[in-house]
Amino acid sequence: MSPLHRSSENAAGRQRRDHAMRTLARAGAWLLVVLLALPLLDMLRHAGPGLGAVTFLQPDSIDAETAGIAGAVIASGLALLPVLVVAIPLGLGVAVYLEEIARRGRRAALVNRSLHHLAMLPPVIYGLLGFGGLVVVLGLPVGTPLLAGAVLGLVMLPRIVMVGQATLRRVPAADREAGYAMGAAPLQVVAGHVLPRAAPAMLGGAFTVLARALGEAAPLLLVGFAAFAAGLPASPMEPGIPLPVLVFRWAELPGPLFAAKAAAAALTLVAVVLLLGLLGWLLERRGRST
Amino acid sequence: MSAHPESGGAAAVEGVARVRPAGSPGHPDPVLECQGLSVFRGQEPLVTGVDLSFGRREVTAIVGALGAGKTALLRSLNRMMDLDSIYRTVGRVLLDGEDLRAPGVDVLALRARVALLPARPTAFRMSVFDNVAYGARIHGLAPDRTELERRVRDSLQLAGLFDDVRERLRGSPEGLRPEQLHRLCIARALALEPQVLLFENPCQGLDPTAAARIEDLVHGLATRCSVILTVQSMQMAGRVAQRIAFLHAGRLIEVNAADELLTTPRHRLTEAYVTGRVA
Repeated sequence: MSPLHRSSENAAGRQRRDHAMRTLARAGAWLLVVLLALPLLDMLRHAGPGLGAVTFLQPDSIDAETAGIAGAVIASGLALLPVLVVAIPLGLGVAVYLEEIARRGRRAALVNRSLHHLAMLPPVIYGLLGFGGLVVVLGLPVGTPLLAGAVLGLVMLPRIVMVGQATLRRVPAADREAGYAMGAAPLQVVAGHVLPRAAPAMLGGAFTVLARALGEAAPLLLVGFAAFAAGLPASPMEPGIPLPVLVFRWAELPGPLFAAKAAAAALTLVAVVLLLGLLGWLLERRGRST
Repeated sequence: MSAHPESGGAAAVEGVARVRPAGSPGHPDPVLECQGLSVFRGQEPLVTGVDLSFGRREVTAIVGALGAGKTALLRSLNRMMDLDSIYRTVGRVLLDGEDLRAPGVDVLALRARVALLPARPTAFRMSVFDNVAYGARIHGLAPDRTELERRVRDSLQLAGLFDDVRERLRGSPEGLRPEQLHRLCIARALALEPQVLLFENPCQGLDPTAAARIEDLVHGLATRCSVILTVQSMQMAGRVAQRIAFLHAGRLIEVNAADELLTTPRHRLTEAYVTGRVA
């Protein structure tokens, strides 16, 4: 057997192994899709009787026939306002400071490590913090979208900082250097060169954070959101139960219609979260192309 | 070949040994002078006790292998090393006799006088015109629109790019060829009308033909300002520079007129590098 022939056999073996690995990886990816799709299909199966107009147009009620998610959708939207207006700008500002302005050193490393650990904390802990700090100390009204937004803002803040830092780190160092080399001040470099590059990814990240915040229920249950709230909240100060809490509450109530409506509400939540994710992705793509 | 003095007299400056290099580190008409300049990354020395003068209106090449300390030395000349607190600089750098590290020195204004062109040319996300006008704008160097336009036009002409971009001054620099991008960045620095231009590997990433044209451009810039560049290739340094400083492991080994250093190196390390026995 010639050396060339032996080499071919060796190459064929490596190609077989390569093919096997590809097949395994592809199967893993499909398995993940199936695992994600199964709960959705299950929800669709159960939601049937709950997918009527009443469910989407009416506020919550103690009567399963007339109970709807309209109030909860509005409450969730209002609860996102503090996240959008306060937590996201504050978090991104902290990220810009830590990445672009603060000097590297032990203190910066300590802050970064702390943020990392805070982002890993379970949201329930933020619920406890929210109850102690926002309800007991600051006296925010219980059961309102304002309180929900403040708690969600707390939960999301470390994650927003980390998302911001990740997007800023993706900006090539050459962009900063070119600015500094021309004698630009740090703020000029950040505003003129770094942020325009990072903005599309930051926008996408902000939408991901909003989607995550929209789906959070655990910290809200700890600050008194398990209660019932009828009517449509007209402001963040009026009582209103966010959508994930409503899903939790309905799922616990007896009767097949509440179970069906809980599934319909969960499907709505998933659809809104996916829509936010898609919107973020589209805006990020559009920002990059321009 | 002449005798190889391994090193000259040594003196301690702030705990760093200063080694006198072979050749003539001084210059009769210096624009920039390093006195006992050392740069550290944490505790690791990148540049050690360099005494070196850079001549006015001439091209000086700092040559050395990868990791020789060229970039750290070059970036110390306009305090770009200060941007990262991990680096520490010791010693003095004088611009026309004025200590750049003295308290109260305006670092931003210094970078307009001693402009740096990093190795990777980067166009800002703005029009070609705004790219070139950027430095003049942020430093307030052009009092009116006419002066700004004059600076932009002159800089583009000097960089040999004006004819290429005449019709797209208001357009994006996207789509410029690598050589044109180099020229754009050079024009941007020239619009500052700097006293000294620092180039980090000015031909990096260019094909040989484009590199030769950029070499010619860099060589010609000495009529407008003093030019200091870092480069790995001794041959390129010989083509572009009037004077060459050879660095090895952070130490200045030899400085001399380019012709002399290339034909009769005085230090064995320089000789080894020139002849290609040390990469």
